Amino acid sequence: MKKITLLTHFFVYWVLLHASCSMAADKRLEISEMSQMPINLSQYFSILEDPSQQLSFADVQTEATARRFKTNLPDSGDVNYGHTDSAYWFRLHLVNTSDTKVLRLVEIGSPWLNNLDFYQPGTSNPPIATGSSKPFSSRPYKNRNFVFPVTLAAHSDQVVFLRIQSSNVRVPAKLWTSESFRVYERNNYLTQGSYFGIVLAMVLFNLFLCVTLRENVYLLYIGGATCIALLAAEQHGLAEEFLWPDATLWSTVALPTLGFFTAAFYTQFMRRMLNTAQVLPKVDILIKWYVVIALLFPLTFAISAPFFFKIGIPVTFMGVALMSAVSIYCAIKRQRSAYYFVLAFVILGLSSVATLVQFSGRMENSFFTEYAVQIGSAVEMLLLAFALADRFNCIRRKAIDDVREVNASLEHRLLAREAELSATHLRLREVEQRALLSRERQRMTQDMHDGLGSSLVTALRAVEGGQLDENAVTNILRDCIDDLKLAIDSMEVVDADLLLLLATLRFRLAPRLESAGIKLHWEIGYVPELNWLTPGNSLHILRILQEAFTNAVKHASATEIHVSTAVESDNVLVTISNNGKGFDLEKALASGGKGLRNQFRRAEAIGGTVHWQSSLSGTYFNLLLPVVQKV
Amino acid sequence: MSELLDLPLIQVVDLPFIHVVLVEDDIAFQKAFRAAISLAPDMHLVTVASNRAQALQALEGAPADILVVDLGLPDGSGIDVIRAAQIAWPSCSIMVSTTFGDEMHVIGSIEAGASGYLLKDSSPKALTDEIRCLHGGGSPISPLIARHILMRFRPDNSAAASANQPIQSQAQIDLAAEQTTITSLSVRERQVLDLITKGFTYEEIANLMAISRNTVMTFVRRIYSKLEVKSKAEAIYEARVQGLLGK
Repeated sequence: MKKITLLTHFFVYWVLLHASCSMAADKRLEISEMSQMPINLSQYFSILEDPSQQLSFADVQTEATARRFKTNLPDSGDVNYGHTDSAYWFRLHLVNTSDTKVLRLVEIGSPWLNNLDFYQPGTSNPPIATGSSKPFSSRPYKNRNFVFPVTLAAHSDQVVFLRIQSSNVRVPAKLWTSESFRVYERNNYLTQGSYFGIVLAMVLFNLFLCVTLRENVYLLYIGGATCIALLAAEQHGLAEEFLWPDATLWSTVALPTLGFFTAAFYTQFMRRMLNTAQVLPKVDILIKWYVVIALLFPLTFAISAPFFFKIGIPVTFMGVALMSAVSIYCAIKRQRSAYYFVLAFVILGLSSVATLVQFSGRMENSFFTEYAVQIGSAVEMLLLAFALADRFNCIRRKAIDDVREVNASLEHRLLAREAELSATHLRLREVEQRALLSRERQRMTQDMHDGLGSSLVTALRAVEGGQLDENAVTNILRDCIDDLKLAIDSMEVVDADLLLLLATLRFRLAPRLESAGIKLHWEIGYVPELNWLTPGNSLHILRILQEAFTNAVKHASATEIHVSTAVESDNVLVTISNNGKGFDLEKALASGGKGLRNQFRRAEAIGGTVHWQSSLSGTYFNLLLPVVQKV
Repeated sequence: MSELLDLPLIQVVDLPFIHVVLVEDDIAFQKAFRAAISLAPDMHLVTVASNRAQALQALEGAPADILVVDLGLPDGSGIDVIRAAQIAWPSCSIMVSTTFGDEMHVIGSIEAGASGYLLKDSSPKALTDEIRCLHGGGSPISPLIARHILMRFRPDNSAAASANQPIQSQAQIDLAAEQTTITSLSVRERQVLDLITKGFTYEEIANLMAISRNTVMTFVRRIYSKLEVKSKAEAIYEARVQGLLGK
């Protein structure tokens, strides 16, 4: 055992010697005295590009190859080769001049690097093979970045090798004391966590809005925010650490793929928000195609991985440029959402610049440069959420305005319709009124023609012929006046009250009966309401009964008249009987009998019937009226 | 002629003259009226006014017992004359002379203060009978007018009218209460009117209700004055509601 150790020691010294010879030009980095601030390692690296990717660790240690390392690199920020097909070897010479053993941590701040191999020749530490294409468990120190602990014994030096093979090579490398790294690590995770907290809150909130408002534009926002958060997680190594520690292939393509998805979601989101289909129909077609391409682009990885990695960034930038231009155009056109988008793009630009500045290493890292991407992304997310909220507000206000407008127009239309209806109603009523007037006129004309008119004409002829004495003329005129009074009474509304009608008749005829010395017996009883007693029908009844009275007075020479009412099933019976001399109905009708015929006619007109029962001892006149008039 | 002149002298001893004033523009009716009165030994035609102006002037003179007014005067409505007479001659009985005795004319006159009406085609005897009857405290009534008054005094009528006024001041409530007490019909008055609408005569009603004919006639007179009071109260009420009068 001891032998082996000795042998090993010997080997180490040999290597060290060898190394010290071949690497005489390497910048040595004294690591025993360090402040809390990390040391940027880029200027201490010696770098060898291996375009063939074939060199092995043993190869780079040969003197010939070792000489090809470029040394004394200028202090020009992070080592950055961009997209490359080469592998790169990094050599770093560390020295501990102190009397104590020191532990230092080498941090490579590019968690997306596909393959990293770390070698510590001359120590018992085996080579470490890690990178984003390897499981997270391959890392010697569990951190989102690649962290390699290096231990140097007192008064010793150590050369370490780092091989990086990745589609995109940028190596922000730092050396930390373990204490200061622990502090940095804690603060860094806390800050990262708060960023993802914001994202989570925004996503949940908008998901809630999406469900509540049932509008899929929120889904686009959620998609975009989720993708950009995953992108940030991937970019900062958190995704590998927490989300997909073993998804090695996915880790390789996650970054560009998420970039495309983010672009697709946000572009579609802005397309909807800015309503480009109507505002810029031609550009809208372009945007639509861009969204389709961005969504399908990750498939190109299956065809050609280098193409996928190389074209990815330009395609993304094309999208950003396109949507920036559209946003500015729409902002000039005073679209409210566009203001937010322009601002979001400015923030995006600023955060990009800040990130680039950080990468260049020309500026001291500050909180803002360090977390520029997260801050920018969070602010952007908030701005887009504001745009959504503002849009919601606008829609709501417009909806309220619309409702108000609709109400106003409804009211207007209602008023117009009302006016129309009332005009129609007025017209109809006028027509109705005219028809009613015309009917009444006809009725009165008919009545005057049958009664008053013919009586007056008879009187006139008689007076002209000198056939009538003064008394007869007086009687005729009195008849005429009675006729008139009954006609006027008939125009009063009697409200279905037949008795009131009979009462009126009695009231009018009483003076005549009295002067003729006739005793009237009023034997009326209960009579149901007759709802068909219009003025016209009332006059018919009055005339029928008036004629009956006239006959009793003039022709029958009665001394007593009985008036009675009775109810017979669905009819009301009015009976006027007298004790005068009777008459033969047939004969009376045959010999003129205008009055009788009028009674028949009028009874028919109101749906009633008349009949007589006459004997030598008197006459019964019956008028049968229906309670309900059949039309 | 001498007979006619003698008769009043005899009557004067027993009864005072019924002083009659006629307001009428129709010369023919004036003549007929004069003739009818001259036949009545107990009546004296004080003045005949041919128009509204003359009638109002006549009201400044000594009060008559009976004022007969035609509504259609050449210079205005007889209603004005009736109203003025109500104030100038409170004790005078006013009757409106009308051709048909129709509801419209008669109700309007009774509301103005008339307590009877005279049909122009009445025989001279009927004419003087009516005047005498009115002077004696009775009033004529037709079934249609009776029904009209019954409708006007229907108990739910005034209640409905006041219920239709959502805001009632104390004065309005008082007025409503006053209306129901002063201007509501008694059961008997209502009964009389009801029988009249069924065609019964004063005599028949008197028999049916076991009261004298005179009582029936005074019932009718009282009903008329209630209608007058009611219509005046309603007019004031209406005016108040419409804000034509102050509180």
